[in-house]
Amino acid sequence: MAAEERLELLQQGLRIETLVDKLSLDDQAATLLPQSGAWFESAVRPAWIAAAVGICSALRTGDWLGTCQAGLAFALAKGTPSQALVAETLGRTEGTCHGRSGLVWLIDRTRRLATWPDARLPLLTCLGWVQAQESMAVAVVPEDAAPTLVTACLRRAADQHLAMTVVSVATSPERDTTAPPAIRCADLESIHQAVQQATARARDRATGTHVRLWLPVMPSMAVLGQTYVQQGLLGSSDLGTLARLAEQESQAALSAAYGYHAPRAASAFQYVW
Amino acid sequence: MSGSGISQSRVRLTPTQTFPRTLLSTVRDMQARDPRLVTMAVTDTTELSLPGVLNGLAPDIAATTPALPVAVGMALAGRRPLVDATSVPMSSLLVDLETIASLRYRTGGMATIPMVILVRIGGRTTSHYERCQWGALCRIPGLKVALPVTTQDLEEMLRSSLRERGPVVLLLDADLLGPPWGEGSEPQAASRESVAPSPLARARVVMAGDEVTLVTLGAGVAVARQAIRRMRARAGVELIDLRVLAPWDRDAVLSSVEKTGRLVVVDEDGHGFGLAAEIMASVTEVYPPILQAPTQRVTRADVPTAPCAHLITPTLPMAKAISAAISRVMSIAPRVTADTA
Repeated sequence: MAAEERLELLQQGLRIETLVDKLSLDDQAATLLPQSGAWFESAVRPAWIAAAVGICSALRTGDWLGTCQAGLAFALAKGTPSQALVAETLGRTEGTCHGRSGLVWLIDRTRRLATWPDARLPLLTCLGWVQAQESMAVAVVPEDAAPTLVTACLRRAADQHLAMTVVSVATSPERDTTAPPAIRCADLESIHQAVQQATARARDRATGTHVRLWLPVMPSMAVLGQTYVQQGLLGSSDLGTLARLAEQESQAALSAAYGYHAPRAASAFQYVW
Repeated sequence: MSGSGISQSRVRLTPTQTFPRTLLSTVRDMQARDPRLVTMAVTDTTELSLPGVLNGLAPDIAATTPALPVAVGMALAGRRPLVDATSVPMSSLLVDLETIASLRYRTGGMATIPMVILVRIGGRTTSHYERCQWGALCRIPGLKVALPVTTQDLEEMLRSSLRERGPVVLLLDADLLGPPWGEGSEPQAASRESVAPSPLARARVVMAGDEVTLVTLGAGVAVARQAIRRMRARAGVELIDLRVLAPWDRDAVLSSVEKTGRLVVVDEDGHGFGLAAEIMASVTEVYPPILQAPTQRVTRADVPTAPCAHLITPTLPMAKAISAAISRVMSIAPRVTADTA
């Protein structure tokens, strides 16, 4: 991977990590989140941030992504503006889904992204997307969530020549006889490459492919940046610049959301019928 | 209450027009007009499962359950799925229907799921009676539910449903579907003479009257007609076919009850917590009161579904019970109010 690409990945990761940290730790957020009544889980683990950045960077424009975990991280990695997502987190009308998604029902047709509360839904909706049109779809699910459904979806994709990739985030390197071996990923680059290979296979052969990512010791983005500096892949000044940029961006996103005290939604009865 | 859009038309039986035939011809026509329409059959993996009603059409996609989320993906990608779920029990679809109907709300209007789901219910004359638990469907916010009882209703509702921006469940009575669902298939399918298209939310006056309002739907329409024919004072009964259960045509029912002052509801759902209770409650909520006599409901008894027709039939709303309910409300003298005194 070229140095610029690696830098780009790290920048994305730092951006998300800083924003997630801010949402969890910021005093104002701690007050506002319960007030807003939004269903928000700010504890996005470093492994899921890395998975979001690595997977989204391997997709092409037009590829669908469905997931049931870490909606905030995947949405940011798919290019949703951070201001809109913070507003969504706080349940505000200017959020991506008018503050109603709780980040687990976030559907963005423009960016071809959907996050769901249940592992069945990303798998099955991805199958629907690829059946409806010729674009590729990637479903990201925790491995233990719906193993038999993963097999069924992949079989259907293979039978009907549909390009679809299932990314399972494994909890252990063990596997049953049908699943592929887990790929141990310790940085963003390895996730990116594993998913890129799987999606390329699915595209080329018009079939379903399965990749199992095992992320046992995924460090935070800040630590990963230090590792890159130690390995000489990144200059220490580069890392400082990236961290400053991420800090500025997350601060701007939070300020925008805090500074605009709009009502939560126009009406609780809108968008029903 | 005023200005109700209730439509009136005469009904006649046309045995040549069957439900499956109308369904298939309408779908073929819609497919030719709209390339976004995609047909999908939900199949059960058990050997006992019935074929879907779109079988004659060779659906574009066959999917084993759970199949509705696959259709959600298609709808999000810009297609209009028509899902034939007639071969699986209605209760197995409820969780997914709840999810689908909530998506527009949860996404603040960003995601609309235009989808029509064909669901089989009833089947008095069949060995596959499916409980009419439409009360459970009607409690799902955002889900439209309609029940065609004539072939013209079926065609109109199918066309209207496919133009909706949200999910619509079209309930198909197994008695009207023909073999293998209904053993007495042909005679119950009826066609209206009027050809004016009606929107998805309108009730229909099957028989006009001014003494008692009889609200029903689905197979209840035929049974209610049979009950009215048995009565001497039948001219006074206004029979309303609700057609659409959610959102139901409140204005049509209220304006009829305002005229008659009496209400009987015939509902094949259970006695408690169902559509009949909802209609009766809505009428009693009106102030000043419009009822001249207590309301009556004739429903399916709250018992589990039996495996054979001779045990199921006595639990369903039958003509005799409907006639008795009508006689009961008509025997009560009108309440004297300040206006009438």
